[in-house]
Amino acid sequence: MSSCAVAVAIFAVWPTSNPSGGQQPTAQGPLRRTAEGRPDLNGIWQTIGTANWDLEGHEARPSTVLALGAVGAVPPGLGVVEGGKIPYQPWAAARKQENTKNWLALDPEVKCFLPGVPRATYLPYPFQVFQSPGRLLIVYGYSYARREINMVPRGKAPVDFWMGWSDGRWDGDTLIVDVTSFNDQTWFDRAGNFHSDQLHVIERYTPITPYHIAYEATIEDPKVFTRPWKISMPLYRVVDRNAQLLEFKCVELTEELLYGDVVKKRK
Amino acid sequence: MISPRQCTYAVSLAMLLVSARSTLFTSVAGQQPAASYTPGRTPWGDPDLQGVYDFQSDVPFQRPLDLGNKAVFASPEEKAAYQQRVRTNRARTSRPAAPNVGSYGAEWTPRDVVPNLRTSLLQDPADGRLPPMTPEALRKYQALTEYRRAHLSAYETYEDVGTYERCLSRPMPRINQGYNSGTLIVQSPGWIVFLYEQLDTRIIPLDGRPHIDSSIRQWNGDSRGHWEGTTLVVETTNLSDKQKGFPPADLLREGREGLITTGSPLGDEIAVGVLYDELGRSGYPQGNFRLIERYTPVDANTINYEATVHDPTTWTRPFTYLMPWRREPNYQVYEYACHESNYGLRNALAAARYQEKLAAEAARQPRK
Repeated sequence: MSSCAVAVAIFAVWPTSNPSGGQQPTAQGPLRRTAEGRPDLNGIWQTIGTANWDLEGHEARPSTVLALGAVGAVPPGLGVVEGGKIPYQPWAAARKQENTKNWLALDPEVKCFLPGVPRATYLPYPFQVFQSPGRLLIVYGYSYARREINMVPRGKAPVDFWMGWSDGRWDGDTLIVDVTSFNDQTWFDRAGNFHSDQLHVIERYTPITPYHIAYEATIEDPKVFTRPWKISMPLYRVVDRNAQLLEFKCVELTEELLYGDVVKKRK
Repeated sequence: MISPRQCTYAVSLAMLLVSARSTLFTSVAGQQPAASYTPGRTPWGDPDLQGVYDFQSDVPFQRPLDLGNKAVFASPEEKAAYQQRVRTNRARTSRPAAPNVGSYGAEWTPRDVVPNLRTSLLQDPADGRLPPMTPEALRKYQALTEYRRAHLSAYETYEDVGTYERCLSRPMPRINQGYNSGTLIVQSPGWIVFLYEQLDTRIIPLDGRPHIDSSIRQWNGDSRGHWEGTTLVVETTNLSDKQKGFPPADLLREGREGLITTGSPLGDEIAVGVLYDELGRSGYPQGNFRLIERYTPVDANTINYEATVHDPTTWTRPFTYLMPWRREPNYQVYEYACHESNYGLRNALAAARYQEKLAAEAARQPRK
């Protein structure tokens, strides 16, 4: 199936409002459900697109590393931000420009640091959802990123985290994950879009066919933005035969970059 | 940063104080297990092992030689002595950190060990000792020891450092570790996942699919699981031969004594490094070995974890160790962002280069 056909199939069934809890047939069959009657999100998922390059719409641009040519070039994208632009406060807009300019030196992804939320979702690596009664766990293909979604209350987070502290609940067929207690170290993309430790993310996972989830994230940060803003994109079920997450322990792939200047040069 | 363990420790300590006298020895591994225990089932019919477990232990990997044939502490006197040691271990957790660099204070080890009356984790061979290494492995190990003796304290490159200190991976298979050994098990239809607090997540398919291509090697290998009754059996292949643990114990004693030591319940000082050394984790060959793990729930709160290592290039026969995992409902497995703040590795390398620079400058000074 071409990506165009996938997109057509998606938008034919994209919810225009909050879906009811009913057993709605979709273009590709009924939604999978657990024994408890919840949507069954188990499986391996991945986004398609260029959100990790830049959440906002962007033209193609050349590679920052000259030698990489077309291989390292940035592909164009329509953007995933509702309304097109991220509503930065003036100081933050200036900081974002600096981030863009100094991308390779500053992007935590370059250093294999934990990606934060929602960036973990649209990194170019698959992730796997494990769902059983009262439990929800997301393991990302990228580095050692993973997230236990608290489906039973666990109270307030004791400290800040790179991946935040995730509390989940169902609203009909939508899984809502409220993510708080972030540090200020992660970025949203390779374009330098950023946040502070006041970040609050509300994710909505709504299955729309057995093979697609409508994913939305509302982003609040009163230190950085003038108002809350929203991104949305589909998650695609990975249906490759015998699909499994392979290790991408990128720590070892970045050590020469991070420590090479203090390694003894051997003759 | 506060220790994430502190509040859970307080809760578990309180629970233990209430229950210790009555239950300690009924649940101690090494006793006669209950004849049979049937765990609950998931909605899709698999035995339900889900939850957080801990496998903290200070039972030595190999049986100390002076214990001879004694596999289990069985007499009332021995049990009493063991209980005293567990208490001592608990008291140890209120010990302040020694003021020297590298000392690990009480906040690192706030949990009790999983009670275990066995005298070694190794169960097979029956003498509790590792089988002999092959001549080739022994040669490689000796060469590696020489290399490390010459290079270890030099901190020449990150590649000489254990993969745990590099925030990469804990070597496979896991044995007891000093702290943060909480492990979350979650199951979904056709899958089971082991989320170790430290670094690694092992996602294991249960659907009988073949292993990945032998050209793909992974730090945690490639695991396939199936159920034998209520026992989960996991076979792991495709393991990386780059695994590297802490330095061998003799080198610890030579150069970095006291860096990581725990008081053994058996009275001898066991460095964590010794355990890794014993399992060949110090970088000597483990080849592309095969690992068979068996997870058997023996009561509502205990999984008997048995691991068999088949590595004919290193050892002359397979060996099996048994390490009980204890359910810890109050243990919250937190994020383990390690690489993100690995200042220690960079600082050690930078300090070593600085020392080399000073030495080179001193060598250039004219003699008086």
